[in-house]
Amino acid sequence: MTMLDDPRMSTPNVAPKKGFKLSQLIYDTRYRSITIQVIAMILVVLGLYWLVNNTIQNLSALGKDFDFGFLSQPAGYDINQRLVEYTSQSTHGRAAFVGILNTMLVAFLGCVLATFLGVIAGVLRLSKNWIVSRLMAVYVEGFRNVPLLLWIIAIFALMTESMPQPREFKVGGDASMMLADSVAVTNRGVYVPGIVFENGFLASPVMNWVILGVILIVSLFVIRIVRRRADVVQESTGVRPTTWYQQLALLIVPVGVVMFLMGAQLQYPYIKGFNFTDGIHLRNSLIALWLALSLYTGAFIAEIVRAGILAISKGQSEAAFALGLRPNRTMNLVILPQAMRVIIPPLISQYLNLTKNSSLAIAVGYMDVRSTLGGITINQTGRELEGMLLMAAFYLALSLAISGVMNIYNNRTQLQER
Amino acid sequence: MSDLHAHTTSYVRKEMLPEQTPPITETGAIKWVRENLFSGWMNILLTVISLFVIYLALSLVLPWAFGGVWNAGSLTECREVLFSFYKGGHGHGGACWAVIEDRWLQIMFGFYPPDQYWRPILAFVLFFVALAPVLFADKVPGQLIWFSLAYPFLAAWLIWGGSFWVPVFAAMGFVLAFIVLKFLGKIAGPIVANLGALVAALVWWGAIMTPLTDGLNKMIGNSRFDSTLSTLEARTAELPAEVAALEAQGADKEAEIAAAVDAKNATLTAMTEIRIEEFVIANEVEAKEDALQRLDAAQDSIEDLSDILATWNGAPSPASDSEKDIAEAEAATSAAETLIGNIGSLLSDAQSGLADDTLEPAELAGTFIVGASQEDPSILGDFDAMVDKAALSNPLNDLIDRAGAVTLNESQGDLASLRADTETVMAALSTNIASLDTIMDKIIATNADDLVEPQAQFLDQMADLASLRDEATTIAQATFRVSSEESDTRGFLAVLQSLNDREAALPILRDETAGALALVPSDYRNMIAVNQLPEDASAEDRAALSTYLGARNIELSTQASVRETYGELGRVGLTPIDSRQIGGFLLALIIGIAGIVLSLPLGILLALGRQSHLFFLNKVCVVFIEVIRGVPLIVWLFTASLLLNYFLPPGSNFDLMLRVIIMVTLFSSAYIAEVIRGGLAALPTGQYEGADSLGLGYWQSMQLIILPQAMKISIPGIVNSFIGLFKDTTLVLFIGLLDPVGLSNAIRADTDWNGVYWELFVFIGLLFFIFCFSMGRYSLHLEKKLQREHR
Repeated sequence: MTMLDDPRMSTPNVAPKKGFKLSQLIYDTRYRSITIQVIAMILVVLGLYWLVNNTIQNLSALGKDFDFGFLSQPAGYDINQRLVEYTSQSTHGRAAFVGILNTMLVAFLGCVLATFLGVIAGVLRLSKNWIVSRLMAVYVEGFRNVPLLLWIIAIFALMTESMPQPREFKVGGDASMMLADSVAVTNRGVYVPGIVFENGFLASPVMNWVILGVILIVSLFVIRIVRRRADVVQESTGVRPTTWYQQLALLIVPVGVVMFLMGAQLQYPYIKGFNFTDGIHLRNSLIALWLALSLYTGAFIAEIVRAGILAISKGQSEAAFALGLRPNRTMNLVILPQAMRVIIPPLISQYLNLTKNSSLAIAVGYMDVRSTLGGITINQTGRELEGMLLMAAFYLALSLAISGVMNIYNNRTQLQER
Repeated sequence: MSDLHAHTTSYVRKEMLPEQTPPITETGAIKWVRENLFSGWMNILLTVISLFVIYLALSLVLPWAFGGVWNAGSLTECREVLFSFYKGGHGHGGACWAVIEDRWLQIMFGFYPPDQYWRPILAFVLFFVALAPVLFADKVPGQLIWFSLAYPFLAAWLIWGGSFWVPVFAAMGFVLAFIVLKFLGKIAGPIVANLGALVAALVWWGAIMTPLTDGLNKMIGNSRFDSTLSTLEARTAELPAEVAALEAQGADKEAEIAAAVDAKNATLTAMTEIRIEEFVIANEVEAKEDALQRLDAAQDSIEDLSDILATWNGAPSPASDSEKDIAEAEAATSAAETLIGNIGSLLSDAQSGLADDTLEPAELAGTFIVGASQEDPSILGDFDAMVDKAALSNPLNDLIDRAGAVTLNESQGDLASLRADTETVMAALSTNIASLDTIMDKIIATNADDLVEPQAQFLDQMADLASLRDEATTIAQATFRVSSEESDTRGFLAVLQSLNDREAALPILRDETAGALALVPSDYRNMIAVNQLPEDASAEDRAALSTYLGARNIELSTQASVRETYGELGRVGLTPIDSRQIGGFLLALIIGIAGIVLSLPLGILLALGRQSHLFFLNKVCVVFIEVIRGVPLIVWLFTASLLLNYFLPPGSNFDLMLRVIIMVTLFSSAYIAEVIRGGLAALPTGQYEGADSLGLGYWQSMQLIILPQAMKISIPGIVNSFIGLFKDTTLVLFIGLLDPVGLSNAIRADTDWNGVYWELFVFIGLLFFIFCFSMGRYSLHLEKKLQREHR
């Protein structure tokens, strides 16, 4: 074959042929891609048809149908940790919702603690202090290289096997409460003080919290406006007005006032009979899952933070000093914005991992969405297909939402390259 | 110049002064410590905190780990050893490593037959040989790549066993596809060639391989039939005697073990007798410490009470008629009343505890006239120095009376004196406890000599017991092997004897099925269950369908049983191993390695698809990758165990482990695709453009230019995905496979080891750590090497 005969080469001195031959579908680059895609589409559709057809046949052979009606039937089982009203008479849909909230709760708590641990460990691992940096290296390597499941089970065993029983907290017992008699660590879980509203605006305590949350968000929004205005003033006059007291007041006062109006009170746990009452009971399952997820993910975040700080070349801080910026402004205006660009995307993917890993709740019996919708509900109703589909859809939606946020952030902070 | 200077200056030093040694703070270790650990107040603080944390961790872990017990048959025996060496007194004195010694093979291999351990080990070693051409391409001969290609089939055969031609035939599907690809590629172009290769491989596996295997089995089986039958008959006659001999041997061993246990228990009893005085004293101390704690609590309550009364200046009374004041006063009153009640009950508890659970010092001394006090007479003197029981409990009676009389109007002075008197009793109690502690120390010191001999004897006995138990285990394994061979032989003999009948029955069954099918209306002939019939189907049709389905079931199962018998009869190869027998780290490694290796081809295709400009292919790949990555592995594993049967043709049912491997392969292919996409994106655009300008087609440029470079960059990422996947294999525990963590639960379910947690966690965690950490270091090393090569 010479170069001129090669159909892949389109050379200008060969005049395009008129008319269309069937062989062009394979040999002409203009049509070949369409051919390939059509074949691929046929294969994919055939494959999907095969799967769906098999499923329909199998379902009908088992005498089952495909129906989500079970979600509105009474669940008939109890959930020991619930953030919203739920009884065993509630529906399976409600049980799934309670599970979703529990998943979100442990994921949120885990993300907060993991970030805290990870940032500290990451910064300390870069410390010039040899012992501290070695210690942090041991933490990071130790947690990264052992399966998360083992950590969850080990922490759970630590809680249930090695902590004192609640009755040992009675007068004359061996154990005592921590932090001025407000926190009790027992083998049934940890009891901490809770906040109760004596005269809440709404009957349901959850809704009162929602009100507080909304107020907090509005306050944060107003604070942002204040900051923007300060930016504008600084750009026009060169002097930045002092706003920290306004910001602080905006953050604290509205929430404080509403809490006062609702009669918020701290309620301490105390021992009554053989167990604690009042306060908030954090079950061992929640504690084990939360701590293990945070410690494990924290080790990964530490590496991300370390890499992010190391990624900023020394020239950046030197240039900032040369411009006459003070160290804290150098950090805020030069180093951090660049380091954050390196840190945030993998950080968010770690949050995503943490959320997905929270499905390991099954190891300690924490009632997350996998245990309610994907566990007991499936076992009771025999609706594996529907239950698993809903659960997968939930996780998928959560993942896509978080990665969507990440993409928006990436696009905003991306360096403009050629 | 120098001349000029020579005239103007009186003295110039000609030679250098010798260097002085730097100050001690600026050299060696001291300098390092100053600069690295104590360079500023923040650093000093961090150093001190770290040292404290390290001390805390080591002081908890080291005594536990190094004071551990290796020779024991159960947790109880571990505790006995710890007890006899004063290690197990309170809480966890030492680790019970005996559980690891007893079960480590199980954690490594699961329930794989011990006499076949060489197979997975060989497969594991060969894995590194197969990896060599990939990782050290420049150091090993290129022909080794053929071994790498054959390795997956070899490994599967080694681990699961069976006839050697099964993996050979499976591999031939790929060979056939390759031949067709080359052949058609020359005459019909890439698209047709690819499709042709796919069809050829599917036809081979789907339609040719099974009849071929069956034929081979049948041929060899028939030629062996008579000889196998006679061998089996001979074995059936022999085996019961062998089993009986082994069982007798086992019974002897059991008797020996029982005798050894008795001897060990006797030593333990002897040691307990030597130490009996310690226990008496310990009881005495315990009762007194209880009382002390109660008195302490009572004192706290008195203090709280006097605080309340002081705030109210006597009995609480409302300052005004306002509801709030009344409520406050009532709350204070009830709190004070509770406290008064508490004080009384605590004091009387302490008193009755002292009266009932303790002995007079003289009485106590009376029980000590033999034993330790003989060796160390000063002990009896210590008893004399103790306060009498009456001196402790009589003042308490007085205190109880006074506490009973306490009212809300009690004066602060009375309360203070009550406290002070309680304090006096407590001080007396503490003195007594202190003297008892001294006595205890003396007794332990005198006992130590007496205990040396029994302790040594006890250790010897435990070691003997361990070796006896090892022998018993060997015998038990042999017994199990022989007796299962016996039952297998019997079973197979029966199956062989009925083989000809079953084979002869097959055509008849086939006719019956065909006859039954003829009676079923043609609309319903495709149905696989009576459920599928429409509501209005007639009873006759229903009966016909059910008859047909029953007949077909019998036909199929007979056919399958005949095939199976021939498969067993005609087997040339290794003993087959059931997937359920595979567990522990072997399982984790199989799933991890298979998942990564099998997902590589799929991952490459997905990555290329995601990079591709073909709209439809691109979107399909994106959706696949995002869906897989967006859902946790555990959901996919449950899908494999609960749902995969729905998606496959009716009646197909296969091994759970195979299902898990398929699911894990799909799962990791999405992650591998992202890693390889990163590698593809990292290549400079010049490489793509260079390939284009050479006139290479898409597949040529990928094969020759892009993928070799992209894969090389991706190796560290692939190793990291492997680490992640390897750790995630522990999740298979939730669908009933026995991974290391699952095995640790199974071990704990055994009554011998019920309650062993940390030893198992530490062992399993350490193995995972060693494996993952070294892999991680290797991937870092690769990354650095790649960076060097790029510069």
